[in-house]
Amino acid sequence: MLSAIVLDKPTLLNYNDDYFGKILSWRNLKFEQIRRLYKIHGFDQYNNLVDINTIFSTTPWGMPRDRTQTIYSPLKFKINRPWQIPTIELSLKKCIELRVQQILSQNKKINICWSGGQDSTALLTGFLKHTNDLSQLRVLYSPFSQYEHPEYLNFLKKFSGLELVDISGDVYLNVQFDGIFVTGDGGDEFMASIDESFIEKFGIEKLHAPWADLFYQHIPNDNFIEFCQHYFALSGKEINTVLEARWWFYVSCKNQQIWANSLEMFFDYPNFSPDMVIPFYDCAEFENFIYWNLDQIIPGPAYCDWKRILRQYCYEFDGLEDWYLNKQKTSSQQLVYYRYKKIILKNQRFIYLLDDGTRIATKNLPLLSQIEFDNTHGTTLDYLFNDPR
Amino acid sequence: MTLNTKFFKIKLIKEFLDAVAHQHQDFLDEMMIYGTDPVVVQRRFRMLGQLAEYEAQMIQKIADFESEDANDFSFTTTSLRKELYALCNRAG
Repeated sequence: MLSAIVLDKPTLLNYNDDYFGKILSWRNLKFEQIRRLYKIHGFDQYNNLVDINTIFSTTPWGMPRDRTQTIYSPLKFKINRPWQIPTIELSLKKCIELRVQQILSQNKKINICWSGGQDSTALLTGFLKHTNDLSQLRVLYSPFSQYEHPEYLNFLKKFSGLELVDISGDVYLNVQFDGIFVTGDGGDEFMASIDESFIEKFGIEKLHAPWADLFYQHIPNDNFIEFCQHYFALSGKEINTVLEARWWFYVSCKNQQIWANSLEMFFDYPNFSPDMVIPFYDCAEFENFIYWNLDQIIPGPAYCDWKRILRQYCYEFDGLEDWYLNKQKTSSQQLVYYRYKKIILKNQRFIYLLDDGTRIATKNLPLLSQIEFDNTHGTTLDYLFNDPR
Repeated sequence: MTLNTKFFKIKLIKEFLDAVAHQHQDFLDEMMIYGTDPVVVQRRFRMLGQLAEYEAQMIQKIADFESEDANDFSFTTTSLRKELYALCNRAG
């Protein structure tokens, strides 16, 4: 069921989950918090998506945002790219090239957020390969980027004209860069977001087992399994294994929220708009590659085989063997902490972020009372909620 | 009966200042332990400054905060603790 969108009002890009439970209580919505997720009474199909998330992750967070637009959701979220079944197949090289050219054609300064991880290094490689004028690029890095990929900074220094900026210290707080920002967001989700806790708990071989067995172990309910069958069919692909189910769930429900969090770093920019942060992998081009090549997500039996294809793409360009062979996923927490600190110190706390860039706040965040919220916003934001059925 | 918010406010600011003082002391201790490492010392100086900035910001907000619901104050203690932890994290 498609939730009705009020056309003349902005929809929701992101919410701050510190205040979300409180807002639900104020709206008299019954809910149950599961770790950092909410099940909300009256939204059964949406609650099923929450259940899928808790099966896949030991620390799930953030509400599922259904790209197929078939699930009745408690909130009116903006969906950047509604799901469309890919019809053409691209190779990895081709899809990265197309994506890079698409971003370059905006003719703006491009700030590449390089964390040293696999996604951001692969996208940076793409830009280095396909940019004619390297002065259009600016690489933003931190000491942790060097920690994750020790040899790469020296490699980057060989390119004359390429601007390298260390954003540690106070730079991330006080310097405003011009142009647009490209992040590696979407890389995890489009590659099935295989987190280490899942592998530790079940082992890699579980990824290739039938999904229905795993789901039934957790939630022995035939209606739930039937819901999943219907939902997975919307992918246009046959979903049999846990890996395929994971891929579909993260692509269809989870790919937008991390990007929305990245936006918080730029609240204080005078021309703040959601368009200024581009999640590199969240695009039709990359979808056209990965949809047909799910076997490339984790081709080997070890955790470090995950995303090997991205590392191979880098290795063919930079020849840095050690990183290619041994790198495995780590969460790049430093930028997350930069973000938190900046929000706190610059007093940019928020309750909601809307798709026109409006930040919904009250003057005393994080001390938030209903009286204060009502005085500032009244009932003007009620339309963001759907009523339970 | 109106709620005595002054009591909750004083309790909140006491808990907040205790937690901040604890962090101040931690930074100071680390500065002494890593006294020969100029990078760490510089970072701790910066973090002490940031912590003081946050402290001033929050004291003003707690003073301005009005609510008739005691739950608002208990909720706030948890969220302030989370913020303080994020602000004082050594990874950033």
